[in-house]
Amino acid sequence: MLELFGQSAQGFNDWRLCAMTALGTPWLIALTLLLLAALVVSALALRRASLAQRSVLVGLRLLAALLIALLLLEPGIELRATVRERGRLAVLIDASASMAMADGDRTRWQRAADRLAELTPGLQQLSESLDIEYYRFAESALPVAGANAALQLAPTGSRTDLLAALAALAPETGKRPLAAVALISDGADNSGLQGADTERARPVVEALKAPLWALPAGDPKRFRDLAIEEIVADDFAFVRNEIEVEVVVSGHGIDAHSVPVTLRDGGQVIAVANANLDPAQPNARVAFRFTPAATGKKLLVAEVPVLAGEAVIENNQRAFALKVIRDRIRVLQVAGRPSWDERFLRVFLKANPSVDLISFFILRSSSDQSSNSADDLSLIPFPTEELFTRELKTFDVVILQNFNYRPYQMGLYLQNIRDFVVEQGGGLAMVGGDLSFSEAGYADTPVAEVLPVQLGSAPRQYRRAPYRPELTPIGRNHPILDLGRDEVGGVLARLPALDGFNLVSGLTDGAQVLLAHPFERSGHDKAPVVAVREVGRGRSLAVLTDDSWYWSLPDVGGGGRGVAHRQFWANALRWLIRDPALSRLRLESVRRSYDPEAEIELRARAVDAAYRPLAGARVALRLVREQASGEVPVAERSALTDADGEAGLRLPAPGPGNYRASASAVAADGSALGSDDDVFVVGGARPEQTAAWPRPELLAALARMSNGAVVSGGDDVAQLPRRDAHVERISRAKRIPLWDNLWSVLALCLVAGAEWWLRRRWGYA
Amino acid sequence: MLTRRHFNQLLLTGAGALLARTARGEDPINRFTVAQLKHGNGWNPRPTALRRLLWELSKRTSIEVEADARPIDPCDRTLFGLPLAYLAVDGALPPFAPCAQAALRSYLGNGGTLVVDGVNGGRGTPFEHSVRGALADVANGELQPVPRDHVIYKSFYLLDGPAGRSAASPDLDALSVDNRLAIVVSHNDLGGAWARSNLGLWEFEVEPGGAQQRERAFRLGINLVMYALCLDYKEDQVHIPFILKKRRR
Repeated sequence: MLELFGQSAQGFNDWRLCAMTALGTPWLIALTLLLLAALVVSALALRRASLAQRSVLVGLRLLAALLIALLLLEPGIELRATVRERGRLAVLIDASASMAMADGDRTRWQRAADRLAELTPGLQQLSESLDIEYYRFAESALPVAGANAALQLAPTGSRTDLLAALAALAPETGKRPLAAVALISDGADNSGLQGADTERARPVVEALKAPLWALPAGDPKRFRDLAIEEIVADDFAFVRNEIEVEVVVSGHGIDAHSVPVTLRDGGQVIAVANANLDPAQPNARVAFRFTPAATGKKLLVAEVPVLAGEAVIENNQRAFALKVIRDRIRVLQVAGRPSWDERFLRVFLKANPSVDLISFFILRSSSDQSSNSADDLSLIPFPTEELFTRELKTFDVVILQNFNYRPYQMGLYLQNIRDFVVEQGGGLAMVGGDLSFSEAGYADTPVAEVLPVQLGSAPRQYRRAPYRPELTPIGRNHPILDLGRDEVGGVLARLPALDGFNLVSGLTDGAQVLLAHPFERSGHDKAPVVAVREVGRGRSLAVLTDDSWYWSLPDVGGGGRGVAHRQFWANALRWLIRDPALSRLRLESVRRSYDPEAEIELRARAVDAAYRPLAGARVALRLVREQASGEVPVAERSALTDADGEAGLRLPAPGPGNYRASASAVAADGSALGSDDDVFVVGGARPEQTAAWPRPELLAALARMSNGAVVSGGDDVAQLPRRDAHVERISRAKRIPLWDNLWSVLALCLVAGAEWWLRRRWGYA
Repeated sequence: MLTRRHFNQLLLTGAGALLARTARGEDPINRFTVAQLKHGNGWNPRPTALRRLLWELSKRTSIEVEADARPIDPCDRTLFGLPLAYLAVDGALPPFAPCAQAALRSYLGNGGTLVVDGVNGGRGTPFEHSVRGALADVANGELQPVPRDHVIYKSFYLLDGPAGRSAASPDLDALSVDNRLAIVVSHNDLGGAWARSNLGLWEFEVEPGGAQQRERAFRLGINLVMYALCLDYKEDQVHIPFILKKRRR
């Protein structure tokens, strides 16, 4: 028939009729209705005609209408060349690191190779009608050339993500459909399917539109491991506020019903609790409640003992970072006698909502009249032992204000004050007066070891004569002397002169003078009036006058605003507690956790007094490994900050462990910028080691979702559930119109003409 | 060559050093004292009172004192160097001069404390009327009786109430600024109870309580000083159990 239209069907193997009209459906409907209406009208017009005549005429009109309708549809023939395409069957082989573990005498990788070998004969048969595709997967799926290529490289993937691997196979536009998916894996997913809830896999599995064959490669009965699986804790905690840390312990193949879980901070054990293991529920949760005593960034470690025969020992401990911050600054103010200096400092501290103040003032000394009954007095014993033993560590700052320790038998507690600064990182401020510094006999005591000034033993070092302290170059930029918007030198010049002054014999190592006496000398240098020092983990401040209160009420009397006193002490307090806002150096590890071979990357950022990026600052870095026995120095580096105030520091991989990097920086002009530290972990248990137990039940669940099967060694592959994945695809098509030719026109003319002639002949024209 | 600038610096340095050396010969203790405010109507009716109080203060407490109070005109800005001021009134207190009003307002608002001591006090007396009127110019608010559980009655001694030469009023009156008593008014002539001659004779009889009442007057004076120096220290939590225990005895 095609030859009638001058066409050939060569190269095509299928055809169908088609409508080639460009008219839309609404138009076609409208025209059809019009034709029908015309037919009805014409039929009504032939009412007077005989039945035979009406039948002929209406029949001819109907035929004409049909021809017109056909022509409007533009009928044609579509020739097609169809190709029958083969479906595919995907074989996914788990190449994550957990596959290298041994369950008993064989590794899971060896078992995977065995499963693939079992499958291969059946796959070869199926390859006649299906394309077999091979993929290795871990955190993602990658196609490989064949079965041999799939097993060529050892399994080293860092994560197991079954959902990602399956999602990569899903048929999309252009991809051929799947007949089935063979999944060879230990099931130790540590991405989206880590928990017991497998329902989240359903959308991914159903999108495959193919049954899944599960081929477990692990043997849970032979897997033995005790692991810290997870630690649930906030990133930060408030110092001296109880926090809760939950440790999830998993035990597989463990006979013990209870194992101890230890939580430690460096070498110090915080708590030990027992995890009760139940074979039916391998995860046990242990809650630790403790109260951090000091601020700072910490790496806490939760660990369980290593049992004989464990598959993985790296997962027996896990470190997590905890940043302990303060909610309120706890200050102990001890004053040797009531004074205006003590009073105005107390007013400032009490008014400060971020300060929790504990004060003790010596209202009566042993030399004062005691003829009154003690019941008439509101005095309480000075609790030296309680304050300077048990309670001392609860404070952030200790202020000894014109306080002579000797009458109160406190000599044996001075070591505690020293340790409070050096080891705990507390802040110590000693404020002058006739009962302070050398006058109080602190020379050659443990407290003197941490002060920024050297104390002589000569008597009468306290004097009173007007003087105006001078600003030193270091003091000019020091945050303690940030006394307002105006330049500090100008501010000091307007403040009242001071009277009281404690002369000392010099500075201790590392001390800095912020304000100096204009006339008095300590050795060859001007005697310090305000000096600071970083010592050990803490800081100390010496205010060698008992008249800093002159910067409040007396300053108002002199026309000032009286704010310098509280500004000075607010700054001093923040400096003593190492308020991060005052530090002009920030140190950050690029990552919280590093792979064992990875280089350590740290970034330091320095700012100037106005907190703008500071170039040319020298950053000194020290890296230590924190372990149970203490800190082990690892490396030291230094670097200069660039125009953005940043310095990058790189260190070679230091080996697995928990690390603390500490940095200090000095500006180009020699002024100290502060210090900062950060913590990170190198190595440690990776996800593949933490959640490493085989989970054949997960694979079985995925197979069930897809109406697949769990494949055993003797199963006939040909009998496994499969989907008919063949498709026919039109590779070429051609349309041939049937209407645009002479015959169509002649047919219409013939019918229309016959109707017209008969109508005229019968007198109905 | 020695320039004028260098010469002046040397001169100042030398003068300061000389002053410092001179100062070493002085008493090197930071001693406490009180400002006694002058006013136009007999500002010092009890000349020996404060000296005696200071002496008792030094004897009974750890505070080191100067021998005498310092008389100061309220317009004198050196008042701001003495955060506790005493104002004795015999009869009526005349209104403060404008400069004194401004100075006292600033003084009280920035941490100063004023104790007003009436020789002839009491409710409805010229003393009370004049004091209320004068103080209205230096502080906002009204004088109110001080409750018996206020820390001023336990800042050193545990007291049940006010005392003085007389018992004209059962209460101290006070006005607070920033949650502290900035002005305390005694109607009972505290100074009259404290006053003692150089020969050791009490200058005024204390009625009706005699020697015990005089002792309570000293105790109140010491409490007033301790309150000015330590404010609400005795309200700190650590003191409360001890104080309650003693009060119960």
